[in-house]
Amino acid sequence: MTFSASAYQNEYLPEGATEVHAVVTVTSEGGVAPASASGTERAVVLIVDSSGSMNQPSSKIRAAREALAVAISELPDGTWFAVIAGSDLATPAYPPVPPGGVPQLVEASDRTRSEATSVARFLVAQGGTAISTWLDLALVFFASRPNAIKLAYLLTDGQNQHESPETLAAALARCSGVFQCDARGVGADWRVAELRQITSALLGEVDIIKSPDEMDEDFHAFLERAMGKTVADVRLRLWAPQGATVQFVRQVAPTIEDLTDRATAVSPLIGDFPTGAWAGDESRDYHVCVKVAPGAVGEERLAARVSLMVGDLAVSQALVRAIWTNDEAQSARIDPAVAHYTGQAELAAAIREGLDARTSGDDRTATIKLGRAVQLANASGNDGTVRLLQKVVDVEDPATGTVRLKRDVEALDEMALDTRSTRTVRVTKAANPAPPAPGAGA
Amino acid sequence: MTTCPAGHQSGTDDYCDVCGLAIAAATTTPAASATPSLACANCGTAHEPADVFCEVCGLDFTTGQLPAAPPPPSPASPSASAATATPQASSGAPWIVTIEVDKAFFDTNATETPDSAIALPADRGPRDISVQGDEALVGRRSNSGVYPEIDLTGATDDPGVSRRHARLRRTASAFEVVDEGSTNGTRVNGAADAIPPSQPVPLADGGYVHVGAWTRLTVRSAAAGTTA
Repeated sequence: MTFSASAYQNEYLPEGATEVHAVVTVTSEGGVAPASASGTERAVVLIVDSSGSMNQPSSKIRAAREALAVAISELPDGTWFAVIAGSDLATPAYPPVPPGGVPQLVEASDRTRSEATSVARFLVAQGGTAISTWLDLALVFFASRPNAIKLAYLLTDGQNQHESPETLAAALARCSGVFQCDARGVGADWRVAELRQITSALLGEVDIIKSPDEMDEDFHAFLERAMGKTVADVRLRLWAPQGATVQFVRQVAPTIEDLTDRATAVSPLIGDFPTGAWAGDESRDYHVCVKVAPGAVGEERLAARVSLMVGDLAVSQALVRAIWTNDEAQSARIDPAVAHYTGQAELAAAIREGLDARTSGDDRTATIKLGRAVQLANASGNDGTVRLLQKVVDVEDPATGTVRLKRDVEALDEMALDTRSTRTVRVTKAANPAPPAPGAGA
Repeated sequence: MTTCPAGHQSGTDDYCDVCGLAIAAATTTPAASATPSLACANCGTAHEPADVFCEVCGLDFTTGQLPAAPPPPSPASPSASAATATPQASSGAPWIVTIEVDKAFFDTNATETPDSAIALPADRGPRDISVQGDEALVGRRSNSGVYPEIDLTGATDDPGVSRRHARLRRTASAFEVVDEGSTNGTRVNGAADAIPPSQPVPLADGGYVHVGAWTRLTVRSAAAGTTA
């Protein structure tokens, strides 16, 4: 598998300017893992909420049992796996832990799949919800296969009621960097912010499952993604010159995720940002903003060196440059990719702020923010987000962002908009004429 | 190890791994800006290697030709020659742009745009800006490289003003305004409709334009002596 990285930016800055923006596109190609990651093994932990609320209505727990059973039967031979039933405490549903033993992942085979499927079909829903215990048990399971690509899938239908937010945050700190976790909320009784906190810390994605009968499809999609991952623990390494400050590092495609606070310092000038596991055919964009000391007109400086690290190996790099000029025509141009993703970040923020204002009864602010969101989503061709917005507002004129709040909004539609507000669209080909050369710099 | 122009020992040889200075570029153009090494073949004035024309006599360094005498103004395009001639004629004395929050304009807007729900700033009095030169960009400064002469960032806090909104120019007779393709348009002397972008629209001394949601800009020459 090869990685390539390209920077898109306008490197020309007016005299006195200090802020350098660039969008770095990272693309992986070819499904074969590099020699350094030989013997790739994958570990999957499926965590299913089995609290009492899953019985109200009982269609939820029945759908969860069925979806889980189907997912287990699809696990390829050799995948390491476990199933956790989560309530106010975490139960290792499969494999069972021998008395006095330690929870350990089991390798998928005809026997283990059939045993796990039977266990899944008898999952009982009772008790409360304490998600930290689920994550801690997953951590113990994953510890038995330290070198595997480690992915968890967490399904819940309610709020994390039976523990404090601090307890959850502490568990997330323990799990962060060890395994990745996607989270799914079923129905409308869970809290988007809570699951997003989990997926942000554990490099996963949050989404809503509106109706229980969509569970099996989502389980299937998760396993397909998990089995596609071939390289674990890829990091974005950012060098910035002495005296510079990294303003932000943000994943901007396929979804917006702020990585700024996730840096691990390698040296005073170098920080590593985690990006998790990669499949052989992925492309992600990162928006980097570095503040440097102003240079003299005509001076050229490197504002950032962005390297892609697999283990200790830099597999590709992109350069973010700064050249100071007094030619306004050169410096005034804003790179289309930078402009596009600045807009997509504003779009996500406008939706979040608009929904918050709506919840707190501030209809004026909600109308402005959601109107702005409609305008931005429409202008950037983010049709998925336009459709989600249309369930919450009546759009009079998408070009100017003239909207009216809908009076009756389904809770499910509002939550769907909230969870999916961070999904972005790529820059159109026309706006970004130079595609990264295959394997460039790899 | 390479040594960068600032004297750092760098482990990378493209850019210094301490300060980021370009290493290759520095060795090929040694302090070019400090000591221009070329002189004009016609008048002897020093110039930079990258220059195309001599700034003093106008010699074209590529062709070696001196500029021809300017052609007589073509009768077909009198306006073009007038436009180029006027800035020199009128340069010198500054002119005044008064920036103020216009509540009446804001109220007429309020019915048609959701932006109107943004609160009108209460504490912004009129402010005069004296413009030197013949042209001033109206906009809001941006870290990505827009530094308008008439910067409305703090003056009116108007969210409807584009980064590069419009250009005000002094002409031979009075002033003109050119909309720079702003999002919300520029309106002249209280007109309901915005002016088309990129086309100069004349403005009398004392005339005004509206930009954004509530900003009114009144333009007049300082010689009129009406400074508040």
